[in-house]
Amino acid sequence: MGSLSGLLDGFANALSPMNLLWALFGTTLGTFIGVLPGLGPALTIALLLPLTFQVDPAAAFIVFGGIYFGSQFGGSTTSILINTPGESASIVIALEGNQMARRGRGGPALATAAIGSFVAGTIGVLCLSLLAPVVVRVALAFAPADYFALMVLSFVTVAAVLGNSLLRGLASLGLGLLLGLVGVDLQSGQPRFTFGSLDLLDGIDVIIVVVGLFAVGETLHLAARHRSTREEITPVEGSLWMTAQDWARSWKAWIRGAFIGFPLGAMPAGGAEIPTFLSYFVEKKLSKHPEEFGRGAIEGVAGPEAANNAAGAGVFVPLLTLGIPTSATAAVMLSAFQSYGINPGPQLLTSHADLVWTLIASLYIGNVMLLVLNLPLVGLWVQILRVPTPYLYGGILLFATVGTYGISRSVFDLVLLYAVGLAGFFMRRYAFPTSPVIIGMILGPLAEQQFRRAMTMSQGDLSVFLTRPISLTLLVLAVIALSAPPLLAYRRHRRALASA
Amino acid sequence: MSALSLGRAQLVAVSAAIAALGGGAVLVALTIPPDAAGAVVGARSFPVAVGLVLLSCGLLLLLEAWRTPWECEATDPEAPPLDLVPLAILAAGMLVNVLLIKAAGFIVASTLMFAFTARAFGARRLWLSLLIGFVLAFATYYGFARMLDLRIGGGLIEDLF
Repeated sequence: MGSLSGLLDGFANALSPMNLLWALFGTTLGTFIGVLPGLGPALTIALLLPLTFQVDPAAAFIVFGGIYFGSQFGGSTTSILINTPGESASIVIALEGNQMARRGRGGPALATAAIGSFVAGTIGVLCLSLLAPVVVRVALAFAPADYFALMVLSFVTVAAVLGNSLLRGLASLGLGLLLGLVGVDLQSGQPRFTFGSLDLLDGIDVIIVVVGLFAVGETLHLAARHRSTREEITPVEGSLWMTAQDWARSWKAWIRGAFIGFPLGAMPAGGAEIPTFLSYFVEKKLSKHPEEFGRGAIEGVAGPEAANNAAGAGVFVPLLTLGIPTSATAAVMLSAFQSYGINPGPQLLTSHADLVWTLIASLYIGNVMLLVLNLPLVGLWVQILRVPTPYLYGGILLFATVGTYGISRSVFDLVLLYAVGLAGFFMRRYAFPTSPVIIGMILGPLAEQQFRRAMTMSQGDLSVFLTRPISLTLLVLAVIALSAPPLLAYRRHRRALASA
Repeated sequence: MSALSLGRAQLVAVSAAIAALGGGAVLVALTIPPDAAGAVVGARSFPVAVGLVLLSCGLLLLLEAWRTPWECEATDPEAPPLDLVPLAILAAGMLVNVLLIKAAGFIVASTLMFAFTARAFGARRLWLSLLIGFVLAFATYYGFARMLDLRIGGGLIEDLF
């Protein structure tokens, strides 16, 4: 009952003319940025974080929510029209979508993606509003030791899920944890990893790391290879509308995709890659036209796109109820909460209920807006892809300067930005995932806080993590997640040896 | 074959760098005074643990790089070789930005960086890049930055208005 009236109040808030404008601004900007290859929601929200000093929290989160869903759809547009998916979750969509576009069916591909996003987004947000209060009830029983164990589990799963190697994911995460430690330790007042530099005493701003990794790193990465790769925009020909057969083949894929995406996104491991791949293989298996897969099967766009969007809504469950971000974007949103002095967690739904429900309601509204915005305006979004690359990346570096130097007016920060960018370049080149850096940087200090709190309560007795059932279970799961991949690889290796 | 061994050498170097970073972090963390009075866990434990995680990741990656180099751009025989010219131009643009942004102001410094970046991505007409960069920097300074209340500071052009 409480959550229904909360949601209705949220709608009343989100539907105010000013907030509708903010939602429109967010979804439009999000789509715009999402269409640009290689740029994602984490970067956009990071550049707009100073908005949190200007407007009230509800307005800021309405904008951020709009950016989040908008850029997901923009990213699919790009994957369909040029075969260079920006984020790994769009790889699957590019697989079939680009094939459809090449066969003159770009219109229906974009349409099934847009409508599928809407359907799955709506299902996802609905599940979010039902599930969030339930998770909160469970989470209220958590003691600091349990929280710490949950964060350890998230660290391990995030490192395993975001990227294709647990070890490289952990290395990225470790780098993020290290960056998060820089500065004065709030509990003891000790400076850590500051090397006597005044610029580092306040710690490293997460904006610098996000912008450095995602804007500067991406620019360097593309510059090093633009002369040897050609991107081709496949023009959208023919009708945008889906035929009756397209509808018949799409709608089940949307629903299945949504119910694959949401639960996986809502787990404290998160990530949209696994659900999109899973949905792709499910559709391939269930399709009556398996021979079309690889040559433009519409189910192969509809399912993964739906899974991607529902997973995107699912990510809000651990973020809003446990305060645990499982994607780079969620981590940046968490730091937006912190900049308002709000700590997401089980108390959020009681202490800032209006904010949470307004945010959730605005996610519903943003979904409707995107449906209206995207399809009719697809011609406009395609034009964005035609901005000449030299000016596009010139502009991106310019905005990167504004977004970082503009906060602190410190040349040191600018140098740091470029250094992080260089690190991001190497991470791409050597296949280290970048998102765990952001998650580690934001979640690390919170994990340390919970660890110290738990140890203070147990008077220094480490066994507190093993005697509490919740904490023990979570830690065992973390150990399994850590040890399963190498064990499986070892068994495969042994079997290969035995059969050879 | 030589591309593969070159790739392997790079992966070994990267893994060693991670291990060194972790080792360094442990050493630095050990200089943090252990305990503030009354605290059960001081400011030192977590940094040491993070350093150890990085150190062990680095060492395990070193092993992996040595035995079976993982797939990435550097080890992909089909990937184009690293194109250093545009990288150098980009780096020069960033350097110009860092050196000039205090002295000459954001608009001048970023216009120049914009032109360098555009050149790195193959733009041929310098005057056009400079013009577009200037218009964009100008509009950003008086639009985006004002909206977000960012203070990018004064400069040659900023002080004129």
